[in-house]
Amino acid sequence: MSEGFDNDEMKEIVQDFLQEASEMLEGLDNYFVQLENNPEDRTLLNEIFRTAHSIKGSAGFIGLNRIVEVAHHAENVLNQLRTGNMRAEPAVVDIILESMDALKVLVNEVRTGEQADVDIEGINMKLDLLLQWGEDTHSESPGEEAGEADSEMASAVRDEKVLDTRSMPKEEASFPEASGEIPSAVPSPSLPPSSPPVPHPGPQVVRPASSREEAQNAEAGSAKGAEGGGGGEADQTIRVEISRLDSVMNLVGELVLGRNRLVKLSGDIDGVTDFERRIKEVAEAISQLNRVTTDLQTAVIKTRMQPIKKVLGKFPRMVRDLSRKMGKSIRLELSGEETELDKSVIEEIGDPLIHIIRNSIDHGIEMPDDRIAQGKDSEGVVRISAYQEGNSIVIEISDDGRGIDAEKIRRKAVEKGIITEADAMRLTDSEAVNIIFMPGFSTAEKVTDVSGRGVGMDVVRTNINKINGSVEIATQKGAGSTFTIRLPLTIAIIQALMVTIGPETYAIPLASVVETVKITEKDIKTLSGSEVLNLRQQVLPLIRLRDEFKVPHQGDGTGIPEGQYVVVVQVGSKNLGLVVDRLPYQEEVVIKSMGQILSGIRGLAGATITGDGRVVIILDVGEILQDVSLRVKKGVTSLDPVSSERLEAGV
Amino acid sequence: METTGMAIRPLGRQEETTRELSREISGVPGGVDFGEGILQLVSFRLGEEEYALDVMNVHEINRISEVTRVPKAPYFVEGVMNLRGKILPVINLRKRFGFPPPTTDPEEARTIVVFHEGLTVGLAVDQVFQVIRIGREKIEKNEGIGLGNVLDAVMAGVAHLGENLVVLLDLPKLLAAIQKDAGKR
Repeated sequence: MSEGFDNDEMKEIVQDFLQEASEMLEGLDNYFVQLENNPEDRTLLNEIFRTAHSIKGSAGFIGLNRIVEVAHHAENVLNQLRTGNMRAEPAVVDIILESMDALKVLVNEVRTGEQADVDIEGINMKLDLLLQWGEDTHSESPGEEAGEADSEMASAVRDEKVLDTRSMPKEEASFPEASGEIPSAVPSPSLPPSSPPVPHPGPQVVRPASSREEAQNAEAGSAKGAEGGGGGEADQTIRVEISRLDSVMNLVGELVLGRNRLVKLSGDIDGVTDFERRIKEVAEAISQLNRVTTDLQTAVIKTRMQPIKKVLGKFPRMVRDLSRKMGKSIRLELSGEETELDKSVIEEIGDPLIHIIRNSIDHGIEMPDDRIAQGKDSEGVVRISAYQEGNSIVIEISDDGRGIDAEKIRRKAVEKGIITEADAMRLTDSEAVNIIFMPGFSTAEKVTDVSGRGVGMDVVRTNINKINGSVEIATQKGAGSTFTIRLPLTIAIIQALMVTIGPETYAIPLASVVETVKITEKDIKTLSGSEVLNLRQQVLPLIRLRDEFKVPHQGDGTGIPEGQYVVVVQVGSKNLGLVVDRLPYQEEVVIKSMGQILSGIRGLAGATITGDGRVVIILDVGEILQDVSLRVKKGVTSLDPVSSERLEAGV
Repeated sequence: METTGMAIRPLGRQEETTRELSREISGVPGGVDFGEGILQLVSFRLGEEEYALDVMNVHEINRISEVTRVPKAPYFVEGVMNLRGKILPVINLRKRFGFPPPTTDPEEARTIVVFHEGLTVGLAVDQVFQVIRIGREKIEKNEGIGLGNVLDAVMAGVAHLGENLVVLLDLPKLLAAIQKDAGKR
């Protein structure tokens, strides 16, 4: 806002308000969704009223008059709901939600300091009309002309057209970018001439509240921005429980003690006669340091952890709006909202989740009539559950809709040239279904603005891979689909298995390693031109990292040692064996970027610096798997039997 | 801690070279004129030729420590090295310019760490001489010098130092070309 809060104290107060208000508005969204299902819930209504009132109060305290104005009008309507003079019908909730969206925009305006063109008058007028309509229907006095006219107005307020313009900014993703209309005016044509002279705001276009660049920065956090413009930017601050900070502080204290001990031990070296004892002391000090740093690492990671609720909390509103828009009846069930994830992961996971949920609602859940015809409950269910499993976090999004038709996917994929006909035949149903994650694949018969723009699922997979996660889908025709997302607890530090190939060392993220197997050269078989390993009656495709990475041979002739190891890696449901020479050790490594010039190399995730100061390259198992399976598919289809025999003979 | 400013020391067997160069440098009155007309250059050797970079783009000069090969990297990328906890890509200028492999003492080889617009890379060279100051008027703009395309495109000019010719490289252009080629894969 341009009022200019100069002194720091005021800035702090405003910051507090912004955080509080954003959280409250988000909470309100969910309250309203609940309210719609239980319109008579007094406790809920009181809670809503109180929350709205405190937003108004705090805004008034700082002098944010525009917010106060809208909050005040909304509060009037809420009061009617609370006193039972009005019922929380969907149409009523629509308008209240619209005013909440306007409040979000206004709050964001304070954050960015740029004035957004929110049509406050339009919103306020709608709320007032709603109020009047509520009063009139309540005191149902027949023959009152004015009443009828107002009633008409009220129905105009509830007119679908209004709802459509309202829903636009919400459907079309993140607010700051959306150049569409923001909850704008009551359509003036439908106002009877007798209506009181209100300013007629023309259709207004919202100037993006922040510059394009900022909007892109905000993309990371667009889970937040995506729904109704809660705030378009990724949070630059984080709330941490005092107890967590205390434990960091304690550990730092211990770290300092450990350092002092080492400094002392190394300082007075002159008078030392008993070296053995001294070495022992140093070793002790080092092992203490080792323990403390490990604990400190965990403690610091914990300060970055946030409950996944931060993302999931936005979905009830989104599901409500989408299902209303599409005329479907859908219940959203959330569980495991307290599961914690690294802040950076939280920021990245919002978009993929939105995509998946939209997909479930658009393609998955059937229309109520169809559902009844199939003997299902007319209300569809979308279930999101999050839980920790070992070193990763699992998020499952399941629906009880029509499921995915593997046959249809196969046909479509062949049609679009993503795979060949022969490949399609070979794919199992579950493999076929996972084709929806390939670029350029969308089965939507018609393009809706909910999903089906041909982008989508591949973006979902790309985004999830970016944070070292994986996604797969299981489906049963007629019974629904389940998307399973696996994410690492944190993205900066990973456990890695070190492998050597000739003179070179590489790191493989342990999260994707299933097992390691010792083999000899004759264990490697050839199957239609590709090298495979028969592992417990399962055919495991192999890839020799020596060839893949063109590792130079060592001087002494062959250089290939007797006996090798196969590291079995898994991403999603695919397995692959990486042939390496030795497996010296495991280490916890910090992933570092190799810089712009080397960032695009397929199969490499980055590099790390090991304890002895060397740089070791970290493999991107997901990319290697993708590339190999593409190559194998192409290779297999182009190989005629003769050449594959020759290959076999060659090996 | 980290060197924030210039960390350039004359390295290797620069004694005679220094003497030779100082004759030329003495052309500048006082020899310490940092005025607008004077460029400060780090000169180095690639094969039998002498090259130079503007000192303002040079962060530091290191001995070539252990470089890790990066598989599937462009041919001119020597690998990555550990620069005080950061990963530094090292470009082999000799390969970049298509010169034959070195015949000289590998002990002399150095990495010149350069930076430009947020991009930091190491340039592997055969030998680093020293910092020279030279009047701008002594630099011939690169137009019309046919030294082959790869080099031509990244040359800022040629400086005459007595008998010697020093090719002044245009770092922004060099890095842009490298980035472009790296992106082609």
